[in-house]
Amino acid sequence: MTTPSHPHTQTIAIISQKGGAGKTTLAIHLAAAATRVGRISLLIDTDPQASASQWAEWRQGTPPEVIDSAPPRIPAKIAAAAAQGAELIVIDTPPHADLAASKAAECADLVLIPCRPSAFDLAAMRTTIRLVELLARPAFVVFTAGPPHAPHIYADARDLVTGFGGQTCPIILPDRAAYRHAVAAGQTVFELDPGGKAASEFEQLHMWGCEQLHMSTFAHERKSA
Amino acid sequence: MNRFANLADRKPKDDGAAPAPTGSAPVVAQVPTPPSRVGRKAISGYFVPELSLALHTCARRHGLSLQDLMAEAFDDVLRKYGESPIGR
Repeated sequence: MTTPSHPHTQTIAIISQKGGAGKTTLAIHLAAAATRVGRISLLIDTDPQASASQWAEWRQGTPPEVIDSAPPRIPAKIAAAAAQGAELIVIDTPPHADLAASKAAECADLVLIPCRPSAFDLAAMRTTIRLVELLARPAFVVFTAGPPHAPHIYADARDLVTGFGGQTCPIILPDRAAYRHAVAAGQTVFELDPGGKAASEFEQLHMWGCEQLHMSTFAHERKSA
Repeated sequence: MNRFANLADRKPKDDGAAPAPTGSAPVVAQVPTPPSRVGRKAISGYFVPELSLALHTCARRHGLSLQDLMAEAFDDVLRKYGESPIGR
């Protein structure tokens, strides 16, 4: 089994067996958040639908950079990207893709499992949790695309995830129109509406992710380190 | 900003550089058969994603490829029904 072994490069895998959970939106914005603090980030798109690659094409070279990959080539691409200076690599995976999901999780320092707070999605997420348990990778369920003001729904969903043996990310990413508008324009919410709630939530998620990966969230700290 | 462009499987579109297709017959690329598939036949079926995931995870847990796991399973089922196992 492959173990993450690139000391200056951290890898986050975004996996979920269910479609529509916001995997690509999460991947794009995590890579973009890292770019914003001066980190060299790379998004590896393993989804045959190539949504992230399409988004990158619309951006015409504006970072974060996106490359595609067949699942078996993920470890080699991570190694090559690490050698070329990548500091954060985010891997986007398609739904119902056992090989891509397991390859990505296997190479990851952190696995994020986006999940809508709904019964069907939570039930499907159980299989994803089993996969990351097997691979012994730190993994967190991130609640996405739910209502912005529904504390009881999120509390119930958290209890369910805990019951499955999973952990939840404390930052919730509710459904926001800004995501649709930004992605459709080849942008991120940081570019579309930097002062908005979506941007603020993703900043918090990025900072939380850096804490999990023991990475600094500020460029000046990284330079002096 | 194309620091990692060399790592992409799909190369960026090359406007005008590729020769336009000529003639009427479409050219089909000849893909060589991998050695592991020579003399072999694919068997497939459609199952729920949970079964697919369970098979993949079971194979990994025991350090097997999915191919090895399936070969073992087919031999087991042949024995169950009184047939001789074929093996790989």
